[in-house]
Amino acid sequence: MEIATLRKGAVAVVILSGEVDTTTVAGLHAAFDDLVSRGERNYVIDLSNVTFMDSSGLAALAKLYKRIRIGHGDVRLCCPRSEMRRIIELTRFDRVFDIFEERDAAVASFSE
Amino acid sequence: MSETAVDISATYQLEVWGGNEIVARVRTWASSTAAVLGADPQAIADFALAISEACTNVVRYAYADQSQGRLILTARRIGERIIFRMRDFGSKFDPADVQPPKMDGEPTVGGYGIYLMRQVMDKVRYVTDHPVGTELILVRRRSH
Repeated sequence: MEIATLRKGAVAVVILSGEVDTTTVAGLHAAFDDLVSRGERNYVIDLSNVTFMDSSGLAALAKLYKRIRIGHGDVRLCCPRSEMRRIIELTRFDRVFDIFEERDAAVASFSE
Repeated sequence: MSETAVDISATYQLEVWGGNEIVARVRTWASSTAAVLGADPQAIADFALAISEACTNVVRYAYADQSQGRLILTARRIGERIIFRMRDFGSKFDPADVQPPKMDGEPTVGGYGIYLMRQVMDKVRYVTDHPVGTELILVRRRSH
């Protein structure tokens, strides 16, 4: 798994690549911890290069969401592959997270 | 018929020892074995997910106090069904102890593993009457 981050205005964009499972998820928790500690409130998680994610990764997304909502921030997802989208729908995360087909649209949605 | 056609009547087996690091290895083996047994892309992805969740649970709970757990997986095909068995020799696991995740509000942090396994498999059964450890049986049609 690889994690790249960039900032677009008031939005932290987290670009995940590779496989997210119990072996690799500690890196994701650490990255989220770092961003939260720096005061980031609005997040776009780009899933376009995630080739696999199990419940370990979902738990990391849920944990970030819960922390950020306390400060009235939000977490939005973009570009999940079909397998990733299936897992999101099975767990009803699509009722919690706004999901966008394009990263730019996800970022822009924070300005609306 | 190709000379290199694989034997779908065979039983395939993998035995591994380890901790967290075996999850990806086991998942890769499950994916490739499901493909050999004729699973379609959706079924391959579903077995990868279910096996990953199951293996994570074994490492996290059955072998919680050990860095080197033993795991034996077998896979075979019967008709249109593909069957994976995962046998561990750690602490017994009772799925009845696991609460399903609440999905009527904010997401819960955890608890989705067994739920996802049941969603993507046709059948999930835990055999808990072995003298030591637990056996998990996962069944899914090779295509839907």
